[in-house]
Amino acid sequence: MLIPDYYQFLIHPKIISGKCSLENIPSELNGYDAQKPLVITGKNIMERGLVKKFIKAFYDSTVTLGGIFDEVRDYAGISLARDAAFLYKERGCDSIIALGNGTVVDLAKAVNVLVSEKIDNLSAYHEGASISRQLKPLIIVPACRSNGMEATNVMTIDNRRITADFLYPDVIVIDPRMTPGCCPECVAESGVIALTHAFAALTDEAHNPMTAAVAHPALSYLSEYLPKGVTRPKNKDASIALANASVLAASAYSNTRPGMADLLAEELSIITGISVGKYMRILLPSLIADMQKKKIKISDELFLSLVGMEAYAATPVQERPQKGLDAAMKLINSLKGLLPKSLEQLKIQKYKLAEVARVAAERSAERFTDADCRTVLEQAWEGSAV
Amino acid sequence: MNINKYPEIQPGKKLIKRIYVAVFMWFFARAIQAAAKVDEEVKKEVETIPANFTLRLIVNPEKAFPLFFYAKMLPRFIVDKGILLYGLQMIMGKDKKGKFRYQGSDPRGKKINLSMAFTSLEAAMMVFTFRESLCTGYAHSRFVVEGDLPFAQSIMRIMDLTAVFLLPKIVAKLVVKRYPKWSEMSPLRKYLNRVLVYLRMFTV
Amino acid sequence: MLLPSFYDFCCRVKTISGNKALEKIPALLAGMNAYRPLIITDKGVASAGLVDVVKKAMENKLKIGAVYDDVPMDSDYKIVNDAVRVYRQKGCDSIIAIGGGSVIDTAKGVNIVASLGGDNLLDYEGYGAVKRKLKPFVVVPTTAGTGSEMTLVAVITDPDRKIKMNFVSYFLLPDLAVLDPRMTRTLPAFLTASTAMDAMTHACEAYFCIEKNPISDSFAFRAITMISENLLNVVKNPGNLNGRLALANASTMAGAAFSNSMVGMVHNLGHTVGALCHVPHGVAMSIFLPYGLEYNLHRSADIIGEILFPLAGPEVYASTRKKHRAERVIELIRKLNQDLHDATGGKHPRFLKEIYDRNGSPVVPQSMLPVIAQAIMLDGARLTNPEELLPEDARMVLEHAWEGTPLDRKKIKKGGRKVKY
Ligand SMILES: [Fe+2]
Repeated sequence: MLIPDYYQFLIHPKIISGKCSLENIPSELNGYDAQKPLVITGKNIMERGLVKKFIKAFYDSTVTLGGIFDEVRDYAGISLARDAAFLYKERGCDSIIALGNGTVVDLAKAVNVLVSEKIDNLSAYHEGASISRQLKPLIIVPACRSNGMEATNVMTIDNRRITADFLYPDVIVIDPRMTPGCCPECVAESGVIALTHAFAALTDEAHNPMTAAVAHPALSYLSEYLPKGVTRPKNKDASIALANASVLAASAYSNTRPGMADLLAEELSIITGISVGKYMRILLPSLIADMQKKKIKISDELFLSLVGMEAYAATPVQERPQKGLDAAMKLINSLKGLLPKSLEQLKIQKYKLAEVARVAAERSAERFTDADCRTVLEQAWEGSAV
Repeated sequence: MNINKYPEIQPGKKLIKRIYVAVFMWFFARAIQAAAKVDEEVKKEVETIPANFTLRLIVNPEKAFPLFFYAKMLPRFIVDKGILLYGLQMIMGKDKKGKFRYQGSDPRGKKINLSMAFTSLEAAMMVFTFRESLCTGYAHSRFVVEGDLPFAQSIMRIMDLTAVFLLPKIVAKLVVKRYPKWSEMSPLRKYLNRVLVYLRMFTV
Repeated sequence: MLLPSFYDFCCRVKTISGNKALEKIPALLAGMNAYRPLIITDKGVASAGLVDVVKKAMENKLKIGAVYDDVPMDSDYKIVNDAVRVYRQKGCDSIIAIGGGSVIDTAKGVNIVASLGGDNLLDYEGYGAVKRKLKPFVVVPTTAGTGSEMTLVAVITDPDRKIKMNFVSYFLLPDLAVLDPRMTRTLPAFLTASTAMDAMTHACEAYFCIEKNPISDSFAFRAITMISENLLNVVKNPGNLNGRLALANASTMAGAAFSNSMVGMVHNLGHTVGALCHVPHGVAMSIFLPYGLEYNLHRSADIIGEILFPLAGPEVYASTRKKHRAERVIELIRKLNQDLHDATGGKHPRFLKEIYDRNGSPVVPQSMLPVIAQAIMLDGARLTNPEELLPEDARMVLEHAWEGTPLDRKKIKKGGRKVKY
């Protein structure tokens, strides 16, 4: 096993997963000396009746829920965060629980910064100041549709990113009552994001044994449960395994440099407002096809994680890296027609691709060239690899 | 912003489950007490525990909801002052004569040497409905053991043996790691002790 | 990959690893607003010149408050209180622990008192006494084995009451674990062997005991790979820095694995012979590991068989039939012990009767075995072992481990259900 000359690694959150794990929240809060959390969640989660089940888990505890702020929709902005922070202060809360994914978690992180630092906007951090203090305890409870950033140290508010180690959630509670998906598209999108993140973590030439160790279970759950999860989104086994995969892939991803598919998808998403998952579905196959064509050397960890020990051991050494790419391609194409298959279908004008490629190449710190990004994008525009 | 739209929520209580756990703990404590008198192996295990040792089984959070409100619904014999005032707990101890006895659920004035605290009512339900064995429960952090840890093993062993006497094989197998074979525990001993334990539970 | 019906995992230690990892400490401490650390270490580490290596690496970038090097073999609460006094006198704002298990445990204790106030560690005894973030805390392990840098427990003795106190809290986890091969370069061959076997045991037990979970499995898997690829080589060529780095990585990863999935009977037996006969922990681990695997074989043969993959590589794994894999694992661990025994000129004991103290008398007399077997009931690692372990079972295992003969598998008592994860 190859160990890089230097690496850093951190998974901050405590992960609790499985039966009856919501009931652990009161004792986790107690470990932080907190009794009154503010719950931040989304309208859709309220409508699906998850909040009711969630409250039931607090029966027979001494925890009081300071309020259930269920105003979050598809956009996390500072004014909404201010409202929630106001509620937090009025009720005298001492911790935050985010029930849901994506924007809910982003908003919870923002509220946490506002109430811990006692400020009312984030402009200082947008200008480069760093968050250097312990924030309030933040617990997240994933529901469906992950954007892959919940378990990381990143928050996106008003489409601008802030990264700091203190933004890691403290506890992630994955409970089978909360994870079942709402629709096949949802499951497919979260799965693709997790796959792309874990793929980036393992194909980065500077990956280290610890990121590989975290990406490994993520990929094996994806390859085992993603096909089942998209056909039966309500299935408990599949949904909890996929939720685990999302969290683990995010943990691996926050310890590696973003891959090309991640960068391109993010850029496209910022321009168009369409979620990154849809882009990753199109970009990852193109990227894999490109890597196969160029015969780029990658580690065989990808193959091991996707197919397991038995099949890995049965394959000759020199074929393993290539077969890893094949397996990843097969997995992503098992989604068939669930998500759009080309950038053209998503109505991206072709002339915009050049700009996207340029910005992504710039952000990659010279790991990818402008031309590489362009090739992948153009292939994705046609959707030939999908 | 109208904060009244987001009311504060004081979570409720699970009445039936609390009563189940209260009754179960009472039975279990009495059974251990009986087994300690009846069976040689349990006796030996009790001997390794120092005198005046006190064990407490408790469902967290302590004192959260005394069963005061439900007193009328509980069977007469279980209602004791402790469980009414101090929530779900059971205290057992070795007295000066070396007998291992159930001491009710009033922790006042007692020095607790070893405490097994279930993290929540649901966690206690997992173990007390035999969905998880004592060891699996421990592995799944359903309860926290604190205090004189060295004696926790003896207590667990006593609990395992009691379960073997108390429960039919098919259930007991869910609870213990290794069900004793004939050569280790003769059927005579098992069934005789089972009868004796049940008898003593309700009479003494 | 198996997903258990319930698991929790927490390892919030930032790990930095590399040939120049020590140089990064000042910047990372500054990120936590710490500029004046107290170094806690013991005389052995200091006299080996390791403190100087760390100081030199941080040269000019960091002002060190003081160096406290009075930590004894067994961490003691009075030493903790003493170190806290130094911490306050010199106006320190963070802690760097350089050393093995007892140094790290002592430093955890110092961190509690230094952060939460007061002047006596005993005030913080009991579960849940630590409920908030402590001072920035860096650990630089000097043995690649214990994995203490990844555990949330500090075991500190109270010599007056003759007890070991356990302090348990996620807040005791260090903020930073620094793995630098310069720290283990001077470790003698036989110590390298036994400490690495301790790490190997952590990884194996994390993999097959009942609290296993996907993340700890994956960490353990890689730890086993790195140890089996590098251990013999490092024992033969002590200057192999890349091998040393791999062992340090393996030890930390095994630490992360076992602190979340707990250990089993190998540690149960090891702790007991350690307490009663003062057998070094690593030595006990390397002796008992094959027996632990053998004893649990009938309960988790599939899972133990999977260990063959990281231990011997995919080729051997593929060419061994499924039902023979677990036995092959045990064989290979025995062979590794034998190889280490040969490579260290006999200093790495294979059985209990081969352990001698400085005067040449045996450390574990055969007459002690029944006493040891009875005492296993005092250790908690018994609970997480897949198969039940009672004193009579332990006695049978101990006798074989003393002689150095494999277990008679027919004599192991069976009768449990399939292990539920
Ligand atoms: Fe160990």
